[in-house]
Amino acid sequence: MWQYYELFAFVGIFFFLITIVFALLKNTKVNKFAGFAAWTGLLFVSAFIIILWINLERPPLRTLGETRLWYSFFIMLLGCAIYIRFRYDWLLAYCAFLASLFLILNYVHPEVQSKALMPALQSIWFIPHVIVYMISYALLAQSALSGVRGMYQMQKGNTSEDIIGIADRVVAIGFGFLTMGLIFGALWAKEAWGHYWTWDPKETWALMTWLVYLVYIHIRRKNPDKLNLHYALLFFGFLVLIICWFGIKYLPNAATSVHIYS
Amino acid sequence: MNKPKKPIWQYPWSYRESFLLVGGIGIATLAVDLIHSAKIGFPTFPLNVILLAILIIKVFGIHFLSKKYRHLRFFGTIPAAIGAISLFMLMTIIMALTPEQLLMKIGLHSIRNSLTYYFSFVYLLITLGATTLKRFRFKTLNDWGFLLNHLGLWLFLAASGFGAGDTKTGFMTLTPNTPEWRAELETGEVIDLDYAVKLLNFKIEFHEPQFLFFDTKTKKIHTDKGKSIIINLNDNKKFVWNNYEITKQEIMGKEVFNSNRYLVNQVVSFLKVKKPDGKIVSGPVTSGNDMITPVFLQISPILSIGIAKPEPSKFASKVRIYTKKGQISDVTIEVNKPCSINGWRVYQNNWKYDYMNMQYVSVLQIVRDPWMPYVYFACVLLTAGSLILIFSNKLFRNK
Repeated sequence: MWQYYELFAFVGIFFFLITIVFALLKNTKVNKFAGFAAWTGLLFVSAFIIILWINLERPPLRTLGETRLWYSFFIMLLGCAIYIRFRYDWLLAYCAFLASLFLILNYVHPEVQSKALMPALQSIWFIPHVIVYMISYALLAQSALSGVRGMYQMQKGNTSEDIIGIADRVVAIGFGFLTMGLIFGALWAKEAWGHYWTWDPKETWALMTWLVYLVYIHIRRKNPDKLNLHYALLFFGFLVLIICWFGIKYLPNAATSVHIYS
Repeated sequence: MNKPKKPIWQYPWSYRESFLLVGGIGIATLAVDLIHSAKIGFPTFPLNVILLAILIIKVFGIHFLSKKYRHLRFFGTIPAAIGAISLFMLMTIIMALTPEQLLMKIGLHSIRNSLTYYFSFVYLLITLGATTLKRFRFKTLNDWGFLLNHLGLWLFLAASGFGAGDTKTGFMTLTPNTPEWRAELETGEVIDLDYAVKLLNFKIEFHEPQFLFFDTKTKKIHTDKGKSIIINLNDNKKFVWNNYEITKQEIMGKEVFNSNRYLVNQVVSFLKVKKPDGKIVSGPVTSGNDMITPVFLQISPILSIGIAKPEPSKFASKVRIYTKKGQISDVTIEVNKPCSINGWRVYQNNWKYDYMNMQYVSVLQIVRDPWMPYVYFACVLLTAGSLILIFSNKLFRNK
């Protein structure tokens, strides 16, 4: 099935690039078509996921390549949803860029797509655990982008946009999903291996990610004026998240992790 | 005009006092850890219940006495929480980045068994508990969200942390039709159980065999642009790659594998390959097992075709359970589908093949975790709290 990936991915990326161009061309006639282009690109990504799911006869959630597909899907879906609500052109463009990036990564580094699903992954917790994590990662990526945008705007002395406001809302939802991901993972581990938590390297980094965002939420409440610190925390949180997601395999004590993607 | 800087330790305490406090806890406990270099075990019943009761009394004490002694209010504040989270996060970072062998070299057996970890954990529970009690009200949806998240987390940490010492994990190795009533615990101790388990049948299924190109000389998987090439021969389709046409002629059935100790747990297939020059090579290809090496079909001086070691898709043990009360029941235990017997959860853990006696041996893991219901209840609270956090968000409301 992956032999058709190029077709779907390239069409998807094409529409996402149009989204970026249209979104950035403010005060033009094409600007209002940015949302339409984003939804069309998303349609192609969704179609490939559905076809892949049917073809593999299992949810495509096992390999890094498959999770990247979901990441592209969710980040664009959330970008579109927030665009409907707030009409932030820059956020839509960022999301389209990030979604394209993950589609390109899958093309440049095609993962070996095996039908094999190991017995430990054959669980009712599999789909909810991975899906809530993907939603959470997509949201927290958006918050990191907001952080970068916020720092840039502060450098320019422009504080007209409520960037921290949107970041707060996105982090609150992302953190809710992140918490559920941790809980579902713990419950699944209990059913599969008999223990909620084994301090596996992936679990340890997942906890660290959760703790960084926990610190962000608390500091935001106590010191709402320290915007530079908040933006830096958003960026740092996402850095830890990236290590947790696919950076742990390069770390010294990760060799024993049961979470390394095949 | 700049606000005059508040002298340290003057009420109200904030981040400076908080970080000095956790820094003091961290340094003092680390010093004890390094000097004694002792591995601290988890407290077991009844000591863990006594310690937890003391902790609860302490948290309530802080809450009620804070009205009279204002410095105690600090433990329910955000700076105290940030300090506690930071110390706990530091422990997590060390765990995440440092291999345990390195820690042992400097005198720490493991972070989880260190005094520093215990104190950071207890301090986190104190601040979390004090914060929870400080806002113990149910007026708004936000109050509910706050309580469910904070109380849920407190209960989760307390039950899983203080209950860890009471958790027992052991393994039972079952051979067919032989009742087993002993288990070897992780500590190496062999215990007698109040039930016996007899393996009636062990069932294992494998995924479709995966044919791959191998390097003829090294017998390593051949890659193209860093990726292996899967030869898809499912449904007896012809596979064409670089003008090689590969077809599967025959694949031996499972009944054949199990009738011969040298063939068991491996895939044997006969392939026919039409080379780019039109010549045909054919022959057997096997995945090999623990007893014999795999067989490859050489198609060029560089390339051969082989089969990857078959991966099990499912394995399950059908067992008969005998209890001391005389109850007999038959259950099937498989991965992700454990069963409960007399307070123990029984998991399908592993399997092996006894080539001498030509039979499968099933390894079951047994876990006794009396604190499990409290942890599950905490998970329910936390999930409810997370849902409130998500759906009470302004993003879902009007501008």
